[in-house]
Amino acid sequence: MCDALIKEIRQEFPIFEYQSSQKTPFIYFDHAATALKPRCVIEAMTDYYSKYTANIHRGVHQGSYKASSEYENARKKIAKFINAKSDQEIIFTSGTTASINHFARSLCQGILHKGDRVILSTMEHHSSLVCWQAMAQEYDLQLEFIDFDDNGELDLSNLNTLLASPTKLLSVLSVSNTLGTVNPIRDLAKKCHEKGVHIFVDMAQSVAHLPTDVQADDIDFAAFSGHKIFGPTGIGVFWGKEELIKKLPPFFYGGGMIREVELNTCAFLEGVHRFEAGTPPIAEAIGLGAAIDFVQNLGWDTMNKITAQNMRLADEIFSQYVDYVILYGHSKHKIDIFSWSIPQIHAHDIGSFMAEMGIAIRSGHQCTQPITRHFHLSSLSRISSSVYNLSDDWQYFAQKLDEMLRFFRVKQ
Amino acid sequence: MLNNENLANLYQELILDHSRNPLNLGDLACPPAVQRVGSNPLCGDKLVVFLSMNNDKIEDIKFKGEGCSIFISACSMLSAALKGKNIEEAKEFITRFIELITLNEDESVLGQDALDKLGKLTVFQHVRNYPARVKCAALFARTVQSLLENPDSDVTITSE
Repeated sequence: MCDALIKEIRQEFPIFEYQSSQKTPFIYFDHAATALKPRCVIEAMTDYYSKYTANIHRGVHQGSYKASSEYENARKKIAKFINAKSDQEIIFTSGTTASINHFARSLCQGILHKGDRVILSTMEHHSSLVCWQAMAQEYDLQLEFIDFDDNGELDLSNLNTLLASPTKLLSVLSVSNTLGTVNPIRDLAKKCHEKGVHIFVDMAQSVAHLPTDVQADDIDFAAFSGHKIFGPTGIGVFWGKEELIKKLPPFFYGGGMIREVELNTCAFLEGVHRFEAGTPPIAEAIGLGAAIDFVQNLGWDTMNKITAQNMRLADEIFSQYVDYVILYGHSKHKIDIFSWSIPQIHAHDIGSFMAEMGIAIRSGHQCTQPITRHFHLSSLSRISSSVYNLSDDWQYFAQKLDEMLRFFRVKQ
Repeated sequence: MLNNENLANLYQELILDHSRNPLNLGDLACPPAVQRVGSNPLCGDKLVVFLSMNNDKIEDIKFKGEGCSIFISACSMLSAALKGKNIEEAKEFITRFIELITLNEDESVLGQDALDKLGKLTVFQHVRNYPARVKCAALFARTVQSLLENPDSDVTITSE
């Protein structure tokens, strides 16, 4: 058991101290929706607001200098964290969804042509699926899909055909937010490049669970959100290989991205600032930098150990209730995201019951309707855990699961 | 057995019974019946209500639906309560029901007379303490309300 370690980690999250003074227990099993925030993130943002508020890259005064350097420092930390070749490959956005939308449109404007094909998987989050549907319609592209099997693993039997001309891009998530599946990104990237196809990876769910190495995986573009890796909401990252992002038109236009402006023409800055028009979310970027520090300090050994404990405890409970609870996603490579249903109890009744017991879980279609449809469901319940979940949390959940089965008269 | 007053209030025995064995599940041939679709896309509740009128009176009412126990039991119990009522009575009943599930505690509660008229449907009064679940109890009511007011429209009704 790593509970002593987890208790120490929980000290870093002020929410537990506050919640312990409340009447209802606080069991947080909705990590995949958003991570709780450690003190260092909250303090880094408060420091910016209370000690050196200023806009970046604008003034020559002390605050602006400090703010600019902290903002750029966050960019450097992120570059190092995902092993980007340079911090000039890290573009700040407001989150994964924004990254996907900006990237897709920019790619359509600058690189893709009418009739080109884009491949997605059928386990994509709506943020990617809906965006590419709109792009396909607007720019006359073809969309094709890699399906998944009942275990929740991608069916790659048809991959060579799918990647053949006129395919230009594969957009795929590294970890399914519903099934927990870890997709074989490195293999997919290799296959893509053999066919001259670019690969974009939605890393929203993997970034706080698995080490990221964009160079070793040899992917071309990627995105993730700050709030899923213990950082603030409203900040995210779009990453692309430097030589490729040079070819992309800016995402939008305004101050902070230009070299020279005439009344009818202008010249853009080189590098990542070309993509960051307007005042960016400065405090949030700095907060994300602090979140990256938090994960680095914790270390992947510790994180992996706790993930393994979460996987084992969840597995024990779901095996014990196999007669009542159906689990979706049985990939050999998965993380501690568990979607499940109970045929006699609707997911929203499960959600309300668990909420009343102080357990935060996710109920609904999880923004992946093709997945719920695959399993002939309209909604699912999802538990997702992290470094702050004690073995007691799992035992409490098991106890409440049992009470719920009795309450709704599914179990005698 | 679980000792939780809030849950016991929300999920009364009657509600659980109806959610497991709903009344008036099915469809009616249209025409002569009229139908309307209800949908709460965020939570996934789906509904089709079929209404057959005899002059001014609701002769039969059936539904097809997919959703949580609050939703299904509201469909079941409301459909049973509305059958046989004339249009004005049905509209009045639905208005009272919606008030029952949406009025805040600090607002004036329904008078005894209204509560008496709602009869068994008062088991839904605790839903108002669960803002996220009000829409589940309200979808059938809103959909029938729309059918009674405008039988020929093809709008989709939502209570989100």
